[in-house]
Amino acid sequence: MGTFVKEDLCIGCEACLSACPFPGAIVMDNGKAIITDLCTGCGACEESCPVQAIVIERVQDINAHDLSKYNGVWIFVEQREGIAANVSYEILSEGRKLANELGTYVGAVIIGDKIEHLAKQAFSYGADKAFIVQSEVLKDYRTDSYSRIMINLIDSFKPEIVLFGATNNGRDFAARIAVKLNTGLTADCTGLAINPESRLLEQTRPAFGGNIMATILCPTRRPQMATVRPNVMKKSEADQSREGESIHIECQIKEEEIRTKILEVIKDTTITVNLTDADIIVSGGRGLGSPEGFKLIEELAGVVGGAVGASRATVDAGWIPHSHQVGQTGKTVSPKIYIACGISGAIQHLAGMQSSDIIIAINKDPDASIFNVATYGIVGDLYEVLPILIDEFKKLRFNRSEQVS
Amino acid sequence: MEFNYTDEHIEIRKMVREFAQGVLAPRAAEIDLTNEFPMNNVHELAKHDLMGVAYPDENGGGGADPVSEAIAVEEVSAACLATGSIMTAHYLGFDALYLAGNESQKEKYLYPAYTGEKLAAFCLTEPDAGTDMSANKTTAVLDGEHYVLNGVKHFITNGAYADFLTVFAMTDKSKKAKGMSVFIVEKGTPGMEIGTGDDKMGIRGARTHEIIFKDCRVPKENLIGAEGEGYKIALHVIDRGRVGIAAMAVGLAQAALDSAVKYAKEREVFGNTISNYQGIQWMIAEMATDVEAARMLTYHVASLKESGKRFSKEAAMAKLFASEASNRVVHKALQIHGGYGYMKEYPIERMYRDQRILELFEGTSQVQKMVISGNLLK
Amino acid sequence: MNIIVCVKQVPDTTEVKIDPVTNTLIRSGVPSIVNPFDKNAIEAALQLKENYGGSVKVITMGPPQAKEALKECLAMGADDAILISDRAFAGADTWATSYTLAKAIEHLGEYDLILCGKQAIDGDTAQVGPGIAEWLDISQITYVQRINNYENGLINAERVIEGGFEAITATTPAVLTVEKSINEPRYPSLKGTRRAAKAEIPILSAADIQVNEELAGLKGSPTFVKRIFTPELRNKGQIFTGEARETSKELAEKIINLKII
Repeated sequence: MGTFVKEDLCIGCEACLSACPFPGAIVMDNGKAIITDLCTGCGACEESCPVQAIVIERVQDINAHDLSKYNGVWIFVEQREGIAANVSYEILSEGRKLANELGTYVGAVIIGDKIEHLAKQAFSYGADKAFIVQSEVLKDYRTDSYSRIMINLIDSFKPEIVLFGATNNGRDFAARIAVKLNTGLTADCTGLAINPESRLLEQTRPAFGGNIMATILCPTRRPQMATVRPNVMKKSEADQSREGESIHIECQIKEEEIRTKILEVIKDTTITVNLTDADIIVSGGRGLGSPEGFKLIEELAGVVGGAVGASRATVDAGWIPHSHQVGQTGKTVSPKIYIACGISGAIQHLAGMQSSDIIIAINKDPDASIFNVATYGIVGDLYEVLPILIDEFKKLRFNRSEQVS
Repeated sequence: MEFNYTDEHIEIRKMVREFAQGVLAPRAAEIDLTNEFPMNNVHELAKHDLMGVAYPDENGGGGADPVSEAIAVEEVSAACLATGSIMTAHYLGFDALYLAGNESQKEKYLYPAYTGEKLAAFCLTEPDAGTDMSANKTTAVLDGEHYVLNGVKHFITNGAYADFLTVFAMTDKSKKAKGMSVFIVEKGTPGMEIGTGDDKMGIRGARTHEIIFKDCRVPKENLIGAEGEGYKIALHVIDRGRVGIAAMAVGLAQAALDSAVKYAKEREVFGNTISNYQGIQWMIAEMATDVEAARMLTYHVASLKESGKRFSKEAAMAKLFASEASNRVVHKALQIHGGYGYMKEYPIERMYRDQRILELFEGTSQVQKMVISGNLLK
Repeated sequence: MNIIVCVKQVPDTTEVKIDPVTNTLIRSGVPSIVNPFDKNAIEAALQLKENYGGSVKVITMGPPQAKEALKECLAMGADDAILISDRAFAGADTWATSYTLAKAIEHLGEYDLILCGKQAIDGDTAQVGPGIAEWLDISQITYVQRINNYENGLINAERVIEGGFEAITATTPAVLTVEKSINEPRYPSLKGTRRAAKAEIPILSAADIQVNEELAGLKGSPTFVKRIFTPELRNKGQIFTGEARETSKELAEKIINLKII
């Protein structure tokens, strides 16, 4: 594949330059457009050129798969100790929608030990089939065992789409599976859609530190695979009456073939309130002025029963551990209420909390970009505002307990 | 003469800046507040090869040129002037050995100083002999295999923490300047006492102490050079050291300028950032010009170090100009900060206090003028 | 212990700004840096070398300018740095990138560990590390927050998972991808900087590492970017200005009325 400019036809109108989504992929030299190494062959310039001077040469993909052999939308149901991760239900719900558009089935892949009960759950969120692989060897997620099984299943059943939660485990083995199966994998998607004409999966994800969104295609290989960010897709209502077909597959893997051993799983007590699951998050930023400021944040979080979040600046400064960081390099959260205190709203931070239902911003600087996304905001000193909020919420709680007794 | 940065100068500046801004700058306010000697910073300087930048790498030095050393002092001082002062005091403390030490002294003290394994201090100033060195009262009397030192030194940077001090003492008072000699005194030598520490206005982390010698017996082999060479060595060391002070001034002034520029672009009054007002713009222009002039003069003098020739006049000029320029710069930088500049919340408050020493130590501005005019009028 | 560290030169995404008028990315003036997570990988490698001996080799796939990133790694203390560069590698996705890096690693020969940052800040995919492990058919531990020891050919490390971590051993050779929390990367020293400034960085081309050009670069990439756009920002909400006591109470009331708390 390559993009070429027919120099004799180019009139130097720069239409391609404006159409090109990749800065630097086209440069002008002596009134002629030149395509650089940064070109990804997306074709935007070809469409924009008024004189047909740009040609995209699409070389046959010699490793292309026979697309007609593939169908079905698969979801990897990630579980630990028999409990499925929330994100698995989110992507099952999303996978259901995609399958409906394609007119195909939804398959849930469930791997582990004593995990049959999860098939019922998967059906209730939209799966038609459950592919179940059980063995003591599979009790804990391990790269070797889980990836081998997934590769074999995909090889045998040939789904056209496979989705994983973008968790540490999901991201750990999906990339290996993609390499082995000679197919593409898009990381950390926040949007999925089927193109009605091409039937291709349009995978949208943030890139460049969340500054831009990119839509990625995998046109010639199958399955089309993506990991999907937790808390982005909406989980549908579980329909307990839905049924499906359970397909049991025998585990062929022996312990001695697995190159890693898990010695111990330690629940980290420092992450007391799980940020990604919290309904309310109170976050602190550089505007706190010092690490002590987090005491006030914790107090407010305590009063409203929320979790404590933090901006990258405060984590970098060592005021609070990384596990609290919200944003591009931290966690993506979408609580019902997100209270940003002294956070200016750098684009990297917004990337991690923009999908919150209600955003409340408290900042001294009326021009802080956090106010652009805020549902409610106060321009003021957080050291004046927060104590009053804490007081008001305490009163509320007190009144409620009065009513109960 | 045309001064050009080499690629190495640019790389070294980037490296030292990253280190100094990342490691030293965040600690600067605390060091100022607690008045404590930042031994951690000394270890960090050593770890990053900044304790002997322009000394031969085959002996553990950094192997760079004197301009690189000035750049390193400048960047360290921009982050924390107290640490810059500790660094230059260390160089000053071992330079007598570099200039006049014998091989066994070098092996034992100088090379470990290059790597920062040993911290050095320069021990010359006395309560009644600052500017006039020849008025030194500390005596050293040969007694068998030892010199016996008696006297009191003060304002000695690193003195209480150094592994060794180069101590200047009179071996023959009657000969005045020509009766001065210089000795290596190791930390913990019986008879050497650490007196009271000073409570200073600025560079508070660069702790200075009184050092008292009471029948302090120093082995004969610790005499640097010959008896009577102390004064000559001291003058040479001080000339070379003045380049370091000038570099400290450049670094501090640059930091003050940077903070003023940043503040001027942020601070709004009457609906405009103050950077839009000519009163501020002119101050910024004057500051930047002062910084650059001081820097070029400093690098020029630093490059003279390599020639091996004496450059007393030029070193005095660089020290005089850079230190006074830094005074003008911090003054304006604080002014640009308005009332906030007077608050400890902003680093310019510390820089303003720190700056003042630059016009006082290693010869006041008046002494520099004596040196300069003395060279012209002789 | 022979360690190969894979690094990437990335634009400093924290310095990227959006042009408010055209709503496009302003890329000019954005400095290129060594991917921050990769610096943690280098630090981890240097510490392992200090404990177990051996050597630290750093590789990167990129244009000739990526030499700058390698020089920074040398300045930190890496023994060798090699640039993997060829026009045929341009436009690679993570599949083609991991293929190319794996071929380069095979070409370089003996190794016990391959260290990578957990992800690159420009793409945030976290896919290249595991991809390399698959191409080389070796074990992997991703999201490593601590390396405990290396004994009898086994590497023992802590791997972060949601809500905690696992203590894992893996056979070597292995690929480890590291978290930011694993260490504090050292700043380069003066001598390291001087050495790096003078170092000649060898370049390996597609032919040198026997890469099948059909599998590399844009040609070998199963995925491609169809469209790039800037995310939409929300509409402006209700902003209170004024005396803190009043505005705070007003806000508290609004929040309470949401009936979430």
